Amino acid sequence: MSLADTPHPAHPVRPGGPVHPGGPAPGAEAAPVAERGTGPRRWPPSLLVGTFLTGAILLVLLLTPWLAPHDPAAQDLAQRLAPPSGSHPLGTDQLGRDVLSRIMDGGRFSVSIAAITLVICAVSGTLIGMVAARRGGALDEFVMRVTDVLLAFPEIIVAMFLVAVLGANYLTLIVALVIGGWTPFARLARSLTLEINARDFIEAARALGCSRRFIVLRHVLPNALSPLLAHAALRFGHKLITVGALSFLGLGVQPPDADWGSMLADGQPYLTQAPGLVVHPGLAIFVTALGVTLIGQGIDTRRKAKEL
Amino acid sequence: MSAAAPATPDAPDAPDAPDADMVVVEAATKHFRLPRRGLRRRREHVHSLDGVTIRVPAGQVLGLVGESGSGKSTLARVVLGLIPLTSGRVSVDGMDAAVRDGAGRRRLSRTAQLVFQDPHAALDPRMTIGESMHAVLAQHRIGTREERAGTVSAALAEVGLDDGYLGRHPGACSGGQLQRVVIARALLLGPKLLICDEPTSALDASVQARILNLLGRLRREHRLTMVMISHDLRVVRFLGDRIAVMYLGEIVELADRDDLFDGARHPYTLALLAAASGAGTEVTGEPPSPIHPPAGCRFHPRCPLATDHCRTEPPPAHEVERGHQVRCHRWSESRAALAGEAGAEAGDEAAERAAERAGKENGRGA
Repeated sequence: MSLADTPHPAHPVRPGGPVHPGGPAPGAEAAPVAERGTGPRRWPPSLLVGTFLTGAILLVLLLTPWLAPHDPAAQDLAQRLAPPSGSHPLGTDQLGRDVLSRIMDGGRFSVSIAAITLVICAVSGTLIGMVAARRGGALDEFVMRVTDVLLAFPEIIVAMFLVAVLGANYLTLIVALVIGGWTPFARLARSLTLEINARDFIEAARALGCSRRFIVLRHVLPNALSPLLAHAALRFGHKLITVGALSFLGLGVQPPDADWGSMLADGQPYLTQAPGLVVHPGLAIFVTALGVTLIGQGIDTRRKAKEL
Repeated sequence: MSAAAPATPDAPDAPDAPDADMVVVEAATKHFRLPRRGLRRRREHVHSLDGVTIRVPAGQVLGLVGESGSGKSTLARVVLGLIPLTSGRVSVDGMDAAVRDGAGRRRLSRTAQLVFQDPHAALDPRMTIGESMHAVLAQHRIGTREERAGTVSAALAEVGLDDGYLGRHPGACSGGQLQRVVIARALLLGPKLLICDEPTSALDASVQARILNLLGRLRREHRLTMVMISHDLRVVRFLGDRIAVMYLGEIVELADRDDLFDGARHPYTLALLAAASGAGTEVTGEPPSPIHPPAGCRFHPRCPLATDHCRTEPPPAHEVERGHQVRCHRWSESRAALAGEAGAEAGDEAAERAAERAGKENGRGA
């Protein structure tokens, strides 16, 4: 994607020549690299676009009670499967409910479930991975074998199994998605921690008598944060789709509530008469996932540019 | 920036207590366990240190040379208490360096500090230089915020950097500048012992001399005891009072600087000197694996003087002169055979015999 590889102040490859051919800083030990730590940091376009998209979507979802043109549950059987019109911008569904209102309302479910599970997955996975890496030994071995087992099953299979056992509601959905979803974060956090632990500045901190707490909080975590954030953002789209898929299969949000996945499922029989019933929730999932994924890519781009 | 002239630094000028040892290492052994491979029952070990015994008197600079993998850096980390010993004892300024707990660690960190090879790696890229240095004082609860700022500025000034560096990130500085920062940070806690692990080998040639001069000056001004680790003989010759040569986890030769450079007796040291000067017999081949060190003398597979005795019996440390130890069975003949010196102190006969034998056995004598 061309968004990702746009020029950045600290581009990795700099063949030979000095950065400031006109005025190298005085002294033989002049800094070879332009100062990066100060001044406003430039955002890569993917981060800008992603933040804008995501922000707009979140704003709309937050303001849904005031913005929605109709009650999402209000039925008007006289207006079944109506095409887009002035009062129903995206038409109506098979029970005459306003599609736009339902998408706005359903998005609150989809996005909040995806976001909450993601945050829990990211925090718990990171914690588990870091502890495993710093403690090492049998604990590390145990944690890694557990993630191996969980990773052997696709996240959605684990979630389907748990929802089927525990019953479908908001809470079990979150629990199921967390149990299936913390493992990538644990593995990433573990490998990042191992890598950072091996770096000289950690040894320097130990030699300087810094406490373990300080080393983890001020050295390991900040250095692991941006890859973890990038990964979290990249996984958000995945979570959104998983929530949608579970709802599509009838294992997610239950009627009369709706989310994007259940709307897709409900609209499927009417695909030929009213394709909007499927297209609009699908687009909503797609655009939201895209927005957050772009943020993830942007964070990653910025990190890579900064590290070089 | 550095005031010291690029001349040989002064001899140790009257350390506080002349006979006190700053570092005492007794029979230190460090074996790193390798991860189990497959289901094989025996775990293998890397022999990083094997029975190293050495003392560094207060105020002295010990130069530690040897190729990579010889255990130099491991010895440094053991002295700093960063890695535990497999067996043996290490004490620094009377403290046991094997302390693992918070308070003891902290006390040791105020006594002994480390300067790294790669200054870019030794500083957290996400912290400014000011933050990195403040954190040290804050972790030791030294001074108020304002006092710390003064201490940090003074420490930077001492290594020739101004306050403009406080807000910079390491990525915005050169290697030489960062090495100064690392040295300043190491001196923040007022250590008595400074261990420098290849402090110049990651730097540009033009900067190396300045950093060495800076270390020489700081050593005099702070009356530091130093361990200078390097694979570069010029570096240890410049700063070292006493030189230890390491090979595969053992100290094979230990002598005062001039004795070592003029009267080395271990074939490995002689080979290093020859390689540096470009004359004489150079050592060939790769060092053997430290996982399976050779039986007998560890240098025998590469030694031009090796005999059957060398292949079976590990040589003890011979005290050949006062303060000059050599771990070699054939120390009395080595100079004559390898350095091309007819009639070394050990006597002509021995020298001739050595030359003959060396020629016969290896087809390449003196």
